[in-house]
This record gives sequence, structure tokens and C-alpha cells, in this order.
Amino acid sequence: MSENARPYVGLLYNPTVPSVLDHAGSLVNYLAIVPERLWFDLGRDTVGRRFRPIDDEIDVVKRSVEGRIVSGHGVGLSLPTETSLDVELLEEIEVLASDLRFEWFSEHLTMFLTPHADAQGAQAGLALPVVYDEETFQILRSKVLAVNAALGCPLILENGSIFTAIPEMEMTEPEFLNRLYRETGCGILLDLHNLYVTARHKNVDPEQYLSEIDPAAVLEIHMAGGDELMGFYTDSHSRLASEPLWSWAYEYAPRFTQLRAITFEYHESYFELLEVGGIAKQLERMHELADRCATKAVPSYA
Amino acid sequence: MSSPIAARRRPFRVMREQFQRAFSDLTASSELVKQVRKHPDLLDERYDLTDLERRRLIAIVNQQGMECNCILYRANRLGPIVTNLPDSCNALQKDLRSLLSEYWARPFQISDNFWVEAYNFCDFVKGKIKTGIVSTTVLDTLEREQAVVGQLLAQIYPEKYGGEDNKL
Repeated sequence: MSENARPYVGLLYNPTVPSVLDHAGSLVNYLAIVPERLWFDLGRDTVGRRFRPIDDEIDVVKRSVEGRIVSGHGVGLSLPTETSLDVELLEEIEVLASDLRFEWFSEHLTMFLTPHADAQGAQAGLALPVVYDEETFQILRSKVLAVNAALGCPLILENGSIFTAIPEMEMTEPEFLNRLYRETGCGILLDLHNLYVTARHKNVDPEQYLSEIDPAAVLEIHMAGGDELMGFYTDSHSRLASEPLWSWAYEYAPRFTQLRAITFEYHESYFELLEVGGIAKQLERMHELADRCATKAVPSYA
Repeated sequence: MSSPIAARRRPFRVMREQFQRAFSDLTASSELVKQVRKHPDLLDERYDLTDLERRRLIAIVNQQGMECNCILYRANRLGPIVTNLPDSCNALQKDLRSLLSEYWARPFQISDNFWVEAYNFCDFVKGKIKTGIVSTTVLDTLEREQAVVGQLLAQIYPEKYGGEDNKL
């Protein structure tokens, strides 16, 4: 039986993370940074500089990442949207990637921007699912290659929360992601809570999904918790990860031969609810999982 | 708007744009969702879709999860307004819901950050006050809260927000 490298354990950075680091920093050896939270994007038709850095935030982030592995977790490129790649935004991310030394960069397999005749960079208002077919594949393929070339580090895509399934698709999401990995090297950020949300809305069989994805493609796992909004369960990042997620993580994560990080996501507005102690316990459990991934590598498709 | 036959002859690259635009427009408007549920042909009046795209969208709008999409859209757009303009929202009372629905009919752009959304909403409501649709009793509260947001914006975008209006 072979061993995998032990994945890092960490957090998606938000303004309360420094408080967690003050109390439980030894449990965090990895941080994922959302570049778009470190500047104001005034839009493509702005007067003067489009991106205005938030210097105070950047300084705190730089102190927080010292001695830790760092990745970027973008939300602005909206790669599956049928619009041209935002080259200005990519250039801004490239500068940050170099400055903070991103080991990899992640984006989303969902649509945050929408094509709109009257507005460049029109937002969809939430992450919407996309059609898995040849056309979307070609849209993504060319953008993935461009982002890879610009950033010089691996790119991975995160599965989204799907509240409305798109029927008559040519491929399943795992088939789509596996093909993208085979043809471009673009890996998977497996968000187990998004998978859980999609399953709660009866839009996926999670066990089938997890057994179909290429174990070699998964570089990172997200863990998170959610709650209900007007009767619908959502990915609000408001709770600790629930037991179904841990069950999946323990079952499948040891099979992911390239797994580099296990990340807990929480929104800063829930920091008081979760408490540093709660987050620390979550991190401890993630370390146990990381140990298991390192010592009990399972042959692919076992 | 081109006919369904013309739509099927469209160049390959153009197709997905219409579907994505339709999907996001529906997410932004629960009223449009209701209309399409009753009259699916409305999709062809507004968008250039293939038969498959039309079938997909009709299936999507008839799923219960479409309510969730619409709720999340409104919640995400409501956040900056309620956070930055709490007293104005309170003062607008029963007018708030319809004003928000009308305000959100315009495209939501990447430049509409946390403060810009709130600032622009204030301008929108002030326009409604001028035309008598909204009571002038809200104006003082609105201008006070807009000035606070304006000052914050002036720090990042002085070229646009650095004028006298945004000095406290």
C-alpha cells in the first residue's frame, strides 16, 4: 500500500481568521485567499484605475500567510459564462498570485457573471449551474488554458450548489470535470457541502457522484455548514460541517492521490456563533482526516 | 426577435449566451418566473433559443428550486442595502419591497459593490421622492445615510464620489 502526501489543513480567509490564528494558529498550515476581497473593482468603464487595493486588508493577509501554504480562490472570472475572459482581472490576480505565492488557484464551475447586452460584467446575483455539453466544454477549455498560462500554477474548479437541475445534459458533472482534467490538467476542488446542498435538493446522488470523479483530479476539499433560508437549505457557511460530509470525506478522501488541502469555509458574520473554540475543533478533526489520507492511501477505484 | 427557425441556424458560438441570459433574468425576477410558468412562449418573445434550450428553461422554472434561486438573488442584493441604509429601509416601510423590485430590474454589475449598491439605491429613491411616488418624510434619513456611504466611496473612488455632496 502506498502513502499519499499529507494534505494541508486550513481556512478560507475572511476578516475574522486572524483571531482564529491568534488562538489556534498551529492548527492552520494553509490559507485560501479570495483576491476579489482585497480590492474594489470599479468596473471596466471606470475613470482611472479599475482596481483599488484595500491596503489595510492586504497587510493583514500578508501577515496571516507567513509560514503557511497559500492558494487563491477566485470568484470574479466566471469561466463558464459565454463572455470573453476578463484579462484585466486576470492580470490583477496574476500580480497577487506572485506576491502571495499561490501554490494553486481555484475558481468555480458555476456562472457568477451573465452575458448582458446593456452591461459589461453583469452579475447573476448568485452562482448558477451551467450546461454540461461540448459547447460549454470548449468555452471552459480555452479559458482554463489561458488562466493556467497567466498564473503559472495549477487551476482547479469547484462544484457548485445546484437548486435547479438542468435536464438533457450530454455529460454528468463528474464526466465533465474528469474530461477537463484529462485534456487540460485542470483539477477539482471538491466542495462536499455544495454536494450535500445539491443532494438535499435531490439534484444528485452523492455516492454515485463521488465514485465517478477521477480520484487523481481532486486537489482540495471544502468542508462547510449551512442552514435554511425560507425553507430551502443553502450553502450559507454558517455552521460546522455535518456528519454526512465527514462520512464522505473519510470514505473518499484517502483515494485522492493528489489531495493537497482540506479547507473549512465559514462566513465572518457567523464567527460569534461558531466561536474560535468551535472552529478549532473543526480544524482538529480535519487534521485527523489529513492523517488518515496520508497513512491509508487506497488504490484508485478500489 | 428572430424566429425559432432562424435561431436554430445561429452560429454555434452565439447559442449559449441567450440561454445564460434567460436563466439569470429568471433568477432576478420571480415575477418573470411566474409569467413563464403560465405562458412558456414568453421565452421566445424575449430570447433567441433553440428547442432544447427552451425545454431546459421551462423545466428549470417549474422546479421548486427556482424559488430558492430567486430568494438567494434577492437576499444577496438586499444585504448591502439593509446593512448600509437600515434607517432608510425602516422609514420606507411598505414601499420598500416594490422599490427594491423596480431597482433590481436594472443589470447588477461587478462595479456594484457593497457601498455602490446602497448609494445608487438612495439616488433611485430620491428620484421617486421627486416624482411624488415616495413621501418626502424619508428624504432626511436617506440623505444622511447616503452621505455616510458617499464618504466611504470617496476614499476609494474620489474621481466619482469626492464631491461636496459626500462631505459630512
